[in-house]
Amino acid sequence: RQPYEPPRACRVEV
Amino acid sequence: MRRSPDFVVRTVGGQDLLVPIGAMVGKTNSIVVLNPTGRYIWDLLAEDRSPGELAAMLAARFGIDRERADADVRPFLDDLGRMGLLEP
Repeated sequence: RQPYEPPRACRVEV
Repeated sequence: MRRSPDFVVRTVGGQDLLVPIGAMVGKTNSIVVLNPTGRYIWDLLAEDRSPGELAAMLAARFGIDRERADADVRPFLDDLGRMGLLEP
């Protein structure tokens, strides 16, 4: 299986 | 819950980015980067899913226990909601 890492969403400001 | 139709995912330089489209372009001054697990959940959110359903699918996909999947999915969904990435 693909190694697991917790889901994350990171905002990139312009 | 379901993902917002105002964002599309595009892979640029190996990174999965959520990019605003349509009217949302003028209202947004940011893009969002998803890690691979986040991308997996984003894809699942093309259909209406409950947090429990997402956690079960995450646990099955990555071979982690259900409790950990629950603990990881909920704050991620909170983040998506806070950033306006889910349908109201």
